[in-house]
Amino acid sequence: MTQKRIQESSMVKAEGERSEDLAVLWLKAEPAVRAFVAATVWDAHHAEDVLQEVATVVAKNYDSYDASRPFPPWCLGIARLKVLEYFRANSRDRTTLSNGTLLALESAAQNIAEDHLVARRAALQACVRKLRGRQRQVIEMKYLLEVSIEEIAKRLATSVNAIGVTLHRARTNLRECVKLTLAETAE
Amino acid sequence: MNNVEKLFDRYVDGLLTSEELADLEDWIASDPSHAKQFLEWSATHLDLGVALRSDALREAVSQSRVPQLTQPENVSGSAQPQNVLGSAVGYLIVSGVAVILTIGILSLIRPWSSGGQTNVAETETKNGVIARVVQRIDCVIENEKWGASSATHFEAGQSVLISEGLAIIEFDRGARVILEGPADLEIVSDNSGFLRSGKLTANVPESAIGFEIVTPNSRVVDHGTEFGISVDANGDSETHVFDGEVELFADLNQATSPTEIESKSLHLVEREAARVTNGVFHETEHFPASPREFIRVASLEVDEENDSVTVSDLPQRDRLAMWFEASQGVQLDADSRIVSWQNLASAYQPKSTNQSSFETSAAWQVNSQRRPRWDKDGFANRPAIEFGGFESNEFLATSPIKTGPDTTVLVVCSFGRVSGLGYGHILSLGGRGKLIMVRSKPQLPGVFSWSFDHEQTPKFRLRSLEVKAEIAEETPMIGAIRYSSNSNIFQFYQNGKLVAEGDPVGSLVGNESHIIGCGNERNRFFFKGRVAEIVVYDHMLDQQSFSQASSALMKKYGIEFN
Repeated sequence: MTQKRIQESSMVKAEGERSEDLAVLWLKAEPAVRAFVAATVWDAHHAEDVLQEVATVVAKNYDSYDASRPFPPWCLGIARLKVLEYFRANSRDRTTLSNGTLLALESAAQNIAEDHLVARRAALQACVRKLRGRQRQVIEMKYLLEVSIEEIAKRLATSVNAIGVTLHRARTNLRECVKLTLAETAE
Repeated sequence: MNNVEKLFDRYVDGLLTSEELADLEDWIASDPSHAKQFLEWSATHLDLGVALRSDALREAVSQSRVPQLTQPENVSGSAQPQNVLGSAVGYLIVSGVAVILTIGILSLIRPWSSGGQTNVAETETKNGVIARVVQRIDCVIENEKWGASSATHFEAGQSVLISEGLAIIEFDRGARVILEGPADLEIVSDNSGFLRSGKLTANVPESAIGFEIVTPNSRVVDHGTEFGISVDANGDSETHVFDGEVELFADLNQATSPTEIESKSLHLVEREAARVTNGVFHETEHFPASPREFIRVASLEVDEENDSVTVSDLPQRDRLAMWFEASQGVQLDADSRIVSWQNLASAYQPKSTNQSSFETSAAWQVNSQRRPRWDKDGFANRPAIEFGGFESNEFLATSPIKTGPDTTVLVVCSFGRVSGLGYGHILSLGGRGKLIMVRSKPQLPGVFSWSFDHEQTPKFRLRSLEVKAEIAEETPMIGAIRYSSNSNIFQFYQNGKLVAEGDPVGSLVGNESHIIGCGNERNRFFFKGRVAEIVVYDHMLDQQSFSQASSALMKKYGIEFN
């Protein structure tokens, strides 16, 4: 191996270790960042986009992260700025949260346990399997097939209000199921 | 609580009124536990789509069927805790976000490239544009269909979507990729891209060593090379190295740390290829590279001293607009059909033009179904390109090549056997005014010119030269045209002998794509026969030079003067 190759190999190793640190840190921070973005950007598609942008900025600026400070708040700060950017770009959307609410949610996200959110995800997966009938049908159309509420109503030959009620019941059942599942797991 | 949940559901459906939003925000602000509750509901909302996809996938795998909507029954009670582990795995399998974020994080820090660290500040200069389309070959850029302000200049995060043809994209650091439609390439940085689907060939100069292409299940880091990557509909990828070496990292989706990915890396050198498949089974295997499966730009170095038989002894080479020779600059696909045919005239242009090989011109056929066949011993023991006529609809289209008002054209060709009339266009040339060499009958060549000029009366003018000298099928022939509006010359020569002449109809000035093997509209008049060489000058040669050019070709192909 030439001297140049040896140098390159050392650099590669050093950079690899840095990236490994980042990957591990990100896995820990991601659930809270995801929850924060999901809470502030109501449209799921846009939320995924914003989340991707946050990850990009986190990676790009990792060199400037002060390792003596906790990582999740640093990521959440970036997420808040990205959400504000999104709000500015979508200023005609009337469903944008105020600055105060953003800060309150950011603060709550900092204190939420990562493993709690991961457990919720797993519980949700199990609860989805319990969902049946009209509620499952409507939920699948909404979240799996990504059909609008109006279109669901049309396809199922019913009213938009009726679909709204079914969706609400399905979501309430899922929230309740997740809560019960977590409680049983804790026992 | 129930009322708040209703508000929340209306919020995630984008239905809240201003008053309802204010109520919801008041509730969040009233207690820190409410903010936490709101976050949990929101996360569940975002995760629901992922959970459903995971469940549908699990169902499909376990029952070997396409996921279906379920039959009516009601949810009741809580789920069993033992399902939790399976759920987490399912989540990871279908979580596009997990994949994207992993790729996003890892691609941006690029831990494996020694010289490729992206300088963010640098990347974000120049108005954010870090890659641009520098050449298009019969290319439809999908971005243009939707009114994108700049469909040829791209910033980080933007995608180049092409539905057909080729686009050559240059990254700021100097790497160039030939993207073959249909394809979707996201520009990640000034030295990296994410190929979601389709095929590309990358040429990486020294300045861009460390150039990276990420695919849904692999990453290729260049060490100064030319390589090709293809990604199929399943996201599986193949990497072929044509020159130099690359490092291939497999299976990004399922890796949980960079260390794990690194352990799955593979060093590929020239003429090696590897496939990465990602699904129930994972494998990485070596096999010989297949350059013919990828579109590349052939070298334009003409070695005259060692190949005096191949290179015709043409006069005034610096005045050539086109020079296609079937033994040089030909790129073939796996079926020995022509993908591209380099215009040798580019090699003789004055050095001041400083063209790179990508900026030189060529004749192309990006549609594999319509490529003419390369025949090593086409005629006179020399290579030729065989066009199949209307039965196979084969032709080549050049990238835009400038033509002057006058020209000299020489075509070495032969007519294939036909049962009908055999009418077809051998070469269609020109801008607003066209000059077209044809096979008018089974054993009769022809030539005509037409022009459309709104400033003259009549606007449309056509001149067809009547050729009576027959040529037997499968017999090499040199058809040549001298054309000048200024000198009022329009002549057709067959094997060095003047066989027809008339008046020209107008200037041939243009900068168009010229067609070899069919009509200008590309949908009719398909020629059946072989073409070995095409020579086009940007002016009309004087009689002496014309004779010299004709003699050189006749000698080369063993054709006798008529």
